[in-house]
Amino acid sequence: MHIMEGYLPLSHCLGWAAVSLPVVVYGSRRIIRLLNEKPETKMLLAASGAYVFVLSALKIPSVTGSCSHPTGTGLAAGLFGPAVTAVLGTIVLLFQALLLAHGGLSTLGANVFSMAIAGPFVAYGLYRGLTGIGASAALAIFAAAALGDLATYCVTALQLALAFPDPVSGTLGAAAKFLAVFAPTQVPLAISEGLLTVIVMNLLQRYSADELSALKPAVREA
Amino acid sequence: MRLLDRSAQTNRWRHLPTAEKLAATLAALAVCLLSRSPLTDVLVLVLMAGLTLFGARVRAADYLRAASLPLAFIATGTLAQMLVLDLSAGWPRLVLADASSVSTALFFLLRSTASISALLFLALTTPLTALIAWTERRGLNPHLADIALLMFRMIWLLLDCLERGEAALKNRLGHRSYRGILRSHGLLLAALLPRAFAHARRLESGLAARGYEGRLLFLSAETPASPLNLTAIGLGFAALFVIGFLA
Repeated sequence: MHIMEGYLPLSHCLGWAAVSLPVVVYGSRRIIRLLNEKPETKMLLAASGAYVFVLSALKIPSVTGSCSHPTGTGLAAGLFGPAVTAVLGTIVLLFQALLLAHGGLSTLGANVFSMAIAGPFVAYGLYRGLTGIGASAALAIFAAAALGDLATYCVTALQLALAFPDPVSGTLGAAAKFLAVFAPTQVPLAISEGLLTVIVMNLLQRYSADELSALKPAVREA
Repeated sequence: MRLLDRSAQTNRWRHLPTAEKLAATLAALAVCLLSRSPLTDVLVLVLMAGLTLFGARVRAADYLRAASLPLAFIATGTLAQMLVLDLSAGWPRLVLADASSVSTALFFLLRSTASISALLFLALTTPLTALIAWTERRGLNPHLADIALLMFRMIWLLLDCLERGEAALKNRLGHRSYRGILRSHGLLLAALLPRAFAHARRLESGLAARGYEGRLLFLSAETPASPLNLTAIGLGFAALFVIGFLA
């Protein structure tokens, strides 16, 4: 759920960029350090980034009969870790703005915060937390992907509510309003994305163990 | 996606300096965000759409197709702004807001549309590779620039795989039901990651055979930006801002 170009006031654009920047800089510095030590990892990271972008080009069905694309935050955070996802997600969002006119340059900071930071960190935290307390892998992956997607959507609604508070009920009322307007598509989509991510992770663990183990050192060190 | 890239690669202003096109886009965005005047937004919209359609000669059909998706999203957001959460009946319901809120929502609709015309100007006239090269020249870490550039090149290969795989699954009745679609997409995405890594490994081997030392260097035929043109762009948009302010 991208916020479109020009839709946020200037102070909000700058504010969200300032909030997102430290996380992206932190992730970038870790990636740069890794690439200085292991230049061959560059291709792997680029392939991972391209994969995240292509993920968002796939149309998945929503229970309501409509169709939309997954955010990929849960799958990306699970495969590459949240720090790498923050950097790759920023590049992907920039590409989406310039190749799809989806999102924007002025709203990049806000979109990065909701889709490349909040969503992946929620998904990663949930996955680690649920597997830590002994939940099954399928349940942990489903919850991480679905709630990571929903977290993205809730953060975007909050960003819009902060920018456009409801004249009667204020920011909370506006947040409820934006959530209500987008819920019919976003909630079923989150469930679909959760189910899809479980299928993908199961298949990857069964048939692509080599690729997953190739990712581990890159993710750990980045 | 191919539409925007094709237009960026083939338009009449393809070889104009990236810095000048980027400066015009950023100046237009800044004017839209700073101005409180609808007239300024209308002027920016007309100017940027005019530059794209008549200056860079982007096809009108391509322009409209590229604009349709963001405009649909903005329309949804504007609708949300024009509605108010009403709790007076004892349960929450959405009702039309007062005239001032509706007018604010319409102002943001106009401002976003003008801003999108600025974004489309850049997206439809400037290849992404030129923008990445420009950011690298302006100080972006070369490793990050390389990752962005490689991502851009790999996206097209993976997109081809994705589309072929999706068509194959569709033809084999993989999209017959909701469950079937999810399973088909799961298979497709799971098959795509090994392919992405295989592409990466082949690229790595190919580069290693050609003396790769950790940096990818490309030649650029782009002419440098003219300080005179950059000043003219800045002054032009400043004038637009002042016109809107005075009107």
